[in-house]
Amino acid sequence: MLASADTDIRAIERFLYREAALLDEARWEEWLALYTDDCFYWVPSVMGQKDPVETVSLYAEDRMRMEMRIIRVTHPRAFSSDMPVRMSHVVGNVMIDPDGAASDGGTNPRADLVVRSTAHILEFRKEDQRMFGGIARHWLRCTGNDWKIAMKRIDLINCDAPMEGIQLFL
Amino acid sequence: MRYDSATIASLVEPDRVHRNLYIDPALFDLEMERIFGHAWIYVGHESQVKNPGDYVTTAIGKQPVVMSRDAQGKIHLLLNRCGHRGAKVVGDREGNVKLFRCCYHGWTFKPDGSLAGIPMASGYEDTRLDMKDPKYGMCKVPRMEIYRGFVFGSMSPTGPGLVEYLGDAATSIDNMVERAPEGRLEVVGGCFRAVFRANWKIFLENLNDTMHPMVVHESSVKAGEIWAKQHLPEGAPDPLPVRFTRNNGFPYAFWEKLTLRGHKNGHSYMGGIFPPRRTDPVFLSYVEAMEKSYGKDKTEEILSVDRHNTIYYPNVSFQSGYQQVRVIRPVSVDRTQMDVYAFKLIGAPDEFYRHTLIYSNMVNSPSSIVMTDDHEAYNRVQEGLVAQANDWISLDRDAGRDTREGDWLSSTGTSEMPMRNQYQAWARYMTQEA
Repeated sequence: MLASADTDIRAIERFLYREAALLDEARWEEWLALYTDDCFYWVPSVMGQKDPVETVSLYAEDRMRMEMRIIRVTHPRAFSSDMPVRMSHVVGNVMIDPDGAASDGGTNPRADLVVRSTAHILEFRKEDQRMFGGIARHWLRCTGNDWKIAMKRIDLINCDAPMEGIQLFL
Repeated sequence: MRYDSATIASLVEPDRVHRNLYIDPALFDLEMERIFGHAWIYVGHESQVKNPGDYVTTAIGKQPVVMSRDAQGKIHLLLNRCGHRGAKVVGDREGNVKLFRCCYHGWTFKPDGSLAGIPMASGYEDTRLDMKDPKYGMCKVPRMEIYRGFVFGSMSPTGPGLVEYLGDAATSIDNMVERAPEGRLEVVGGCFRAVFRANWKIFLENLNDTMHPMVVHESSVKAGEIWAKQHLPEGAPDPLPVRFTRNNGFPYAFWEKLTLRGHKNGHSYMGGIFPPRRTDPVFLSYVEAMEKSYGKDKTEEILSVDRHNTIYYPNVSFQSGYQQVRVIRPVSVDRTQMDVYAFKLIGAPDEFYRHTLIYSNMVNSPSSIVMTDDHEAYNRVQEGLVAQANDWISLDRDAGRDTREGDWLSSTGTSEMPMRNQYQAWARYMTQEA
C-alpha cells in the first residue's frame, strides 16, 4: 500500500493511538510487536540532526537494543525505576508526510508511508512530573491487514537541553 | 556556618570525609572560589571552534565563559560579560561572528575580547573610559593553555602550568590523541547534557569506584546477559551493546586485579575493562589504518595502553580507549550537569566512529540503560546524607595500604584510594585562603 489520497487516515490514527496506549500501560512486549524486525528507534540530540552516525543521539536503537532496554526496565534491580515511572501520551495533528522520507537520517527504512504527528508526553517519577514534546515521525510498513513501524523518530523540542535520566521509550 | 582553614581541614581525614562536603551550600560557594577559581578547568576542544570567528559558550565553575577563535586562528577564553554594564554578551551555545555585540547598548567586541566599538563614542570623550583598556572589553580568563588540542582555563593568574599540573597523568590524553591514525581528534555535532540531583564530587568519586558496577548496574548487566542467552549460540562473541553492558558484571576478583593509580594533584585512572584489542572487522580495519601511520610496533604500543576512566581533578574524565570526554559542571550543592562529548579519531574508518557512538548512546546518554542507575545512586547519596545519624562518610576500603612511588599512589583495583586521594587535593585547595 502506498501513501495516496485513499490512505485511510482514521486507520492510521487508530494505529498510533494503540501504540500510545501500550506505552502508557507499559505493555512492552505488545508495544515492541508493533515494530518490524529491522526497526530503528531514533531520538536525536540536536535539532534537525542529519543522521544518527554524525553525532550522539538520545536514543539510536535497533531491535536488539530496544529489547535490552525492555529487559532492563522490567528487572527488579533497575534502581532508577524503583519508584515506577509512569507516562501519558497524547498523539495529535496526525498527517501523512509526503516529504517525511527525507528525515530518515540515511537509514532508508523499507516503508510504505511516513506519518507525522505531534507528541505530548507527560512523565511522572518519584515526586515530579515533567513534559516532553515534539514531532514524531513513523515509517509504516503495510503487513497484510495491518501496519508495522519500521522506524520511529522523535524530534523533541528540548533535545539539546540539560536533562535528567529518561528510563522509558517516548 | 563560617569556615576558616582549620575547620575545613578538620572535615577531611585520611580515611573519611565529613558529610557537609556534599550538602552545605557555603562549602559549595567556597569550592567555586578556591577550587574552580584556581585549578586548571577543562573547557573544550579546539575542534569546537574550527574556523576564525567560531565560538562556544561554557562555564568555569559558575562563571560564564566563551571560547573563541580570532581572525588569525588563535584561540581565546573570555569571560562572557560586557565591559560596560556587565550583561552576558553571548547568549547562544555556539556560532560564528565577526564581532560579538552586546544586546543591551550595542558595544561590540572582537573574538579576542578587545573592545571594537561603542555607539556614539563621543559621549566618552574626556572620561575615564579607554577603548584600549581590556577592562572595557570582554575580559580574558587569566590563564589558558592547550594540551594536545584540549583547552583548559584557570581563573588564577598564578600557579603551576598545565603540563606540570597534569603531570604524567597526561599520558591518558596522549594516548587518546595517538589512537587517531592522523594524531588528531574532532568533536562533531552535539553532546549529551545529563543532570543529576547530587553534589559534583559524587560523580568524581564514582568514576574510579570499582565496587559499584556489579551492584548499581545489575539490571543492565542482566539485560545484556539475558539478551545474549535468548539470541546467541553458546560461546558466540558478544555484540558491542551486550559487551558494553555485561562487562560491568565481571566478578570481584577481576576488579580487584585492575590497575588503580592516584596522582598527587587529585587525578587518577583505572585499568581497562573492555578487551583492548577487539577482533571485529571494523576494529581490524582501524588497526590497519594505525599501522599504516605508525608502523606495527608503535601501533602495538599505543593500543596496549589500556585505561578505562582517567580523571583530571576537578572537572573532567577521559575514556581514552572509547573516545569519550565527560565534563563536570557544578550547578549547586545538590545539582550537577555532566556534558559528554564523543570524539572522532581522524584517519580512522567511518565505521569506527559509529562504534564510538554506539558506546556513547548506550553508556552516556541521559536515556542510557547504564548511566541512569549511576545517577540514581548519586541522587540517593544526596537524599540519604540529610540524615544526621553520623557525620562521616567512610572511605575505609583498603585504607592504609596504598603504596607511594613518586607522584603516584597505587592500590588494589577495588580500593577507595582514588577518593581519599581526591579529598587530599580538595583539602589543599580549600585551605588556601585567597
